[in-house]
Amino acid sequence: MLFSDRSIWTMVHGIVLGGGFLFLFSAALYCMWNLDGEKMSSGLLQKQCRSLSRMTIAMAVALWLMVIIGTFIAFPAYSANPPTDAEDLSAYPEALLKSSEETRWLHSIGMEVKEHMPWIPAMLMTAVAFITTRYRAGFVANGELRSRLLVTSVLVGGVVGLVALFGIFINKVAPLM
Amino acid sequence: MRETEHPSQVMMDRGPAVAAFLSAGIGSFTLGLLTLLGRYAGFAAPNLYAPVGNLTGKVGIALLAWLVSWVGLHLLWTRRDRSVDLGVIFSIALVLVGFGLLATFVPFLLPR
Repeated sequence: MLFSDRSIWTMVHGIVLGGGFLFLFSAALYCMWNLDGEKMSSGLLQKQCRSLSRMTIAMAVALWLMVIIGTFIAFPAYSANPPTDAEDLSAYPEALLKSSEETRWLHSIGMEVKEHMPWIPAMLMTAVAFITTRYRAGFVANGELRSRLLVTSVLVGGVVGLVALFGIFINKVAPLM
Repeated sequence: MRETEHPSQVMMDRGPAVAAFLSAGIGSFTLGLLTLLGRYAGFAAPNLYAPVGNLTGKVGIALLAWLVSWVGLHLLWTRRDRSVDLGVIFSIALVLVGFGLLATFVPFLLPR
């Protein structure tokens, strides 16, 4: 088979969900930034806010699926222990990374951060999705709340981008095959 | 909403929004604190799923803190909307999130 189950799960985790999140992130940020209660008609504003709500819900779902798949499917496969006499470590990514001084940091920093940090943007994104869904167009006129939503969304995007970068590095050196 | 009212002008209670922000901060802080304690104070979170290890315990406790605080704050502030200061509470939430992010990043850059 061209791709193993582990490899397919990694692609779902990183490309489908991670890529999907980043795609939605750009769209949601643009939408949030451009909502204008004074210039938009009532109908258009409601439509835009409905779209924004759906996008933020999809982003939160994508993040939760990413952390769950990453933690409960990809991580056990990544951290599997090789047999003591194993010479080829390519099927054991953690052991492979730790076997070289040059790549050890990818586990001790990159993977450790990937294990812990992504739960934080998942919680934050859930809050953003809840607020955009509960208030719909109501938050547009409230500049204070709107700016907080923007800050939180940018923070979430930044953290996800950082974690994704570590994921790309790790997958380049020690992919789950 | 009245029919003549523009949707962006509808009066809104900020309480639920503030509760959502602050509870996410509490969850983030809890995860950061448990990560620090695990790394430097020998705290062993419960191992809820053996193939993953005690990460599941740390995350489980943090998620529990997040959800319980969310429900509690939501109920509290939905009833007492007028007294909620979004700016102050959001700043506190941001500090808690900042702590969580630093605590799940910086310790891994440093030797144990």
